[in-house]
Amino acid sequence: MTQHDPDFEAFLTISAVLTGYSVAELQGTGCAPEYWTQFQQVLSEEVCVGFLSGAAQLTCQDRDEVVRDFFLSDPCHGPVARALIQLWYLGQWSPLPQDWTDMYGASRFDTARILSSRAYKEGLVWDAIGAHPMGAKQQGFGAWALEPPAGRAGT
Amino acid sequence: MTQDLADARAELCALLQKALMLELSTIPPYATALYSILQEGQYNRSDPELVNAEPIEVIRQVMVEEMLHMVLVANVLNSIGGTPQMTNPSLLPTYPYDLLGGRGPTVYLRRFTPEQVKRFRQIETAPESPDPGRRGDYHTIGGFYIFIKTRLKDICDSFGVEEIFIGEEDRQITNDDYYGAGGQVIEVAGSAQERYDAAIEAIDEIMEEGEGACLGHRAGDKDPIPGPEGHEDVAHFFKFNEILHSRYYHPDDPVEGPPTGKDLIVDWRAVAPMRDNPARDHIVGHPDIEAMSQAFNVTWSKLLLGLERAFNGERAALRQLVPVMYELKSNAIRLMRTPLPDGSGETAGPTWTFLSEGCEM
Amino acid sequence: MSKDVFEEDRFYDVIIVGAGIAGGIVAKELAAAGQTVLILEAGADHGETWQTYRSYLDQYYLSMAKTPNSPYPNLPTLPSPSVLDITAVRSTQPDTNGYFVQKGPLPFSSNYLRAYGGTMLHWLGTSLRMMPADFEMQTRFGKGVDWPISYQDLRPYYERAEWEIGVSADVKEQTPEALGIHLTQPEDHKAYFADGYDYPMHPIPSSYVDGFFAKADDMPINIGNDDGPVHLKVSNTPQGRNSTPRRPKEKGGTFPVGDEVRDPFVPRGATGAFAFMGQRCEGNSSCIPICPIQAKYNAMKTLGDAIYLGQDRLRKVTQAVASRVEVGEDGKITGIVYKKYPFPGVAQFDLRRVRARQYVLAGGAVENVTLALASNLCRSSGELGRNLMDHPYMMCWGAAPEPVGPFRGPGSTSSYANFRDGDFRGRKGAFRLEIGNWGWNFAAGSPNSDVARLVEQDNLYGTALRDKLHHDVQRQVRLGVLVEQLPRASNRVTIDPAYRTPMGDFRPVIAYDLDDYSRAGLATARDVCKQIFQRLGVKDHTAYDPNSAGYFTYNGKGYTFWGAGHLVGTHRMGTSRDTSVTNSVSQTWDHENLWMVGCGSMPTIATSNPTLTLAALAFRAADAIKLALKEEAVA
Repeated sequence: MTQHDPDFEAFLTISAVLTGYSVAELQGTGCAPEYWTQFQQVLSEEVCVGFLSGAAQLTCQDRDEVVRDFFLSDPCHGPVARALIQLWYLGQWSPLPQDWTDMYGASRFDTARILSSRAYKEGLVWDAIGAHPMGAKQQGFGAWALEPPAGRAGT
Repeated sequence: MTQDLADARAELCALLQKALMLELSTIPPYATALYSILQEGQYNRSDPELVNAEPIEVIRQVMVEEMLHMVLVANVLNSIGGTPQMTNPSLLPTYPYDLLGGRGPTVYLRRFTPEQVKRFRQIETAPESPDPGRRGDYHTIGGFYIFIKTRLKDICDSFGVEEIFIGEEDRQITNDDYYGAGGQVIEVAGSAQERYDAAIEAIDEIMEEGEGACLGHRAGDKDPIPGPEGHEDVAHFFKFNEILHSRYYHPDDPVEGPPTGKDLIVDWRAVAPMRDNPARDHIVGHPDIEAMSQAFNVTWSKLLLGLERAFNGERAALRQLVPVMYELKSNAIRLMRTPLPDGSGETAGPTWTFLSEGCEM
Repeated sequence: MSKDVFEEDRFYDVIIVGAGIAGGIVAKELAAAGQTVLILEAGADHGETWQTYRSYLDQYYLSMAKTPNSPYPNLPTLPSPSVLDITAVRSTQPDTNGYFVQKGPLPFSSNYLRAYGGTMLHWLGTSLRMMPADFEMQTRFGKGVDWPISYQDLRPYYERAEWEIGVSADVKEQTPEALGIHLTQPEDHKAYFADGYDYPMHPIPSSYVDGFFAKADDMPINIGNDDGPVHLKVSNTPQGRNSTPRRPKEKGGTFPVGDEVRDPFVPRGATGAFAFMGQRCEGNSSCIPICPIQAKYNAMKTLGDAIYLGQDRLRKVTQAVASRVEVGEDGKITGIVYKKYPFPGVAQFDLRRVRARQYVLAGGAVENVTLALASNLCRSSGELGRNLMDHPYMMCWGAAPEPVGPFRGPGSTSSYANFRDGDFRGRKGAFRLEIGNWGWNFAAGSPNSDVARLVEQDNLYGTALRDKLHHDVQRQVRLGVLVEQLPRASNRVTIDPAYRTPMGDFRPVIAYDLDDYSRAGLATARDVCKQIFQRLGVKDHTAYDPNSAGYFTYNGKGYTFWGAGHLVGTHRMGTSRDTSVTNSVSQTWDHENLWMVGCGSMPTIATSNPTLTLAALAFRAADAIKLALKEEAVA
């Protein structure tokens, strides 16, 4: 099992901060191992190690600054972070931009695709918008007539 | 020793309340096993083969019918002026749970395994003879219902049906309130005699769908399967047997024999490795997982509170419970995918704990 | 091609080309009457077993663009039109991107599915009857043509169609008065429904989104009626998806349907081991393109009944492309030659000839025409292939001031039906405003596009991203405009030897345009949507891109339209062999034992989604075919 793999744990820690969902919630999608595999297949070892090293800094005081400085605005980590967020939200890999792959290396796994039917159904976007994945996780007869669930911020 | 009318009514109410809890108590173990089955196509993304779609559907049908049985019992209980209770912590099942106050098998919360399905089959086993049940010497669900029927008949004979069927008619759940697969809601309404007949019919439907006990040596339960052919559905005992034998029954199959119908593919490996009898101890000190477990229990409590309201005059509450049941499923599956922090490789699971406070609908 | 044709021995009462709803109804009716029936279906027989239906579902999950045809096999040898193929037709050369050869000037953007079960696999389920005025467009408004039959003639067949499909609605909510329609003749209000009739199932609950729009109810809207403004009303839409079946008032009671009485309706769910699934809609929110539990009607249900009723009198052959209909010297059809291909996707086939007393083309408005043209049939009126109509479909979308709970439930559960009739129809097209339940999914690719925007442009992450998604998407509302289109000779399906499929069959060549009647209707509808948004405080986000394929202008303003998948009118029925292809029971004027059944029979499209009307016409045709067979037997 992978749960005591420190790299996988770092991957989950960073994923949780970037997505706004807890590590347990991300595990609860059942997609973490699959996404971890995709992540490693797309990135070179060097880029991967560099990206995951940011996990250690996320425990500090100003987490937002770390996320913006180390991840989002970094020429190497930024596009990776944005692709990772979209992977969790949509179950779909968004290819890295051309100038990024020119700089940090291309991978044949870096193509636009929905990773699996489970990945589609477990996209976080459906929970975030207060709905369910279209075509799966049905809510039951008449559920659409009920008041929508409040967002977590709005409760 | 003679029984006065008040005692007789109280006895029937107590028996039916027990039946209500009995039906309820089967749902958590069935649902836990059901939700532990990895859904079709999701466990191996390189292989488009769909696995376990059929066992999922078979257990789902059993559960839907158990819900219907609760509705039927509530209707009978309401028809005699009883007050169905769904949220009384001293009555609610906790697991492991001894069915029929210890006379029946003990049920556990476990993932989908052959042993667990054998246990389910045992739960739905028909009594060998109806006679001990009539005397109150029952060890199966079917025997218990035979006893209820016997007492209902005896008490009605003693006091007259008019004295027994005194409940308010608008507390009856109708097919318009609860429409689901696997059988019709029977309203226990009309004249006292009509109510008596309907009550017996309702109990018979529960027994037929459960063990097929009333039908004499066939697997069928008399409910037609929707479709042009109008084939007959089979009782729960046989549905579980289908899974164990990887074959569907033919409705005319004799009860002693194995199923002889089409193949039903079961993959016992495509199952979440949930630890048996999930408990708070397994996850204590891990607030993220505790929060998910709490979310499940809040939803479970919402369901029980909603059922209590629906069974006590607020029939419209039933409709709002459909999304709650699906939410329960999502919450359970999420837990069963979350590895336990001890590194054992097993996952968390739902504890099915009723929270008496803090879960308004 | 000089290939040997294998003669099949068996002679049938009826051969039906096309296993969709039209063919299914005719097959079921004839099978029930004891006739021998052969069904030829060009597509592969995939969806009938649960395994393959589930594989459709997986294909849907894995499709990046979840278009109507995305779950279903698209064989290179047997292509179906796809919405992804639509581009602007800009040059004098036709656009040949997709299966259709598009001659323009505007692209024909509708699609259909060539497979067992047909386009019903991905329809929305909307099951509307037409309005009485729709049958008399020429008499009342001087537009288009009249039908050879009236609303009252079709009414009993509508009842049978509603009970075949399994429509959920309530009669008292569906009368023209209840819908808030200004009918052009007061007597149209009378007997819209027969006394004592009701739909087989109770209505599908209206969505929370519908409730938001209902806040504008009673708002007066002036669309140019002489008798004053209409008063807005959100009304529940009759839908071909399972709800709670209606129960008779007393135990053992029955329901009048057509000219008979029926037992209470029994909802049909999915197939095989999953028969108990789909007995009620569970809100999977993917009716287009696939209902996972088959609570939405699809033609496989009717076909399944036909197969059961027909036993060994009914034979169904899939992977069988009807290629040529053969005519004798007396004008009667003598046989059909079809291509039987053993391997889906491989252009390798045997030619087989089959014969019957009566022949039914039920392949849809376009395929019926290409086959008939390829076989040189029905030439006397010159109308075959002309008068192609659709509902030009335009969307208006915006952000509501409060959460409205989108992305839950069937694609649409209500509409504004107010604009379906009125004396304004002398000047511009009538329309229906459909209320969408899936936010900006059709309009802007939500919620995927929202995630991409918030992550890539707004640089959000974490809980702020999650909360902003909730805020934005929860407020998404969308109206869809379905405007009527008049029959025009120049909107036309033809064939051209230069354009063929890999199997050698003709591809449809389509010329299409929107006339000012429809454009004026769309422009009016756009204004109505603006007023509704103003009334409800919805921020209008509607944008029509001049580069989009369906961009057009009217009175100096630009709009974009799409296809509604409602392909109508190519082999219309009428009272004269000079101006129509079939008589009022879908029997071709030129070939007495050839029937063309389906939406192509409809002389006008009006404002109702055509499936229910096509189903009613199919029942009517089936009755006539039964009669023809009986008369032939007597003779």
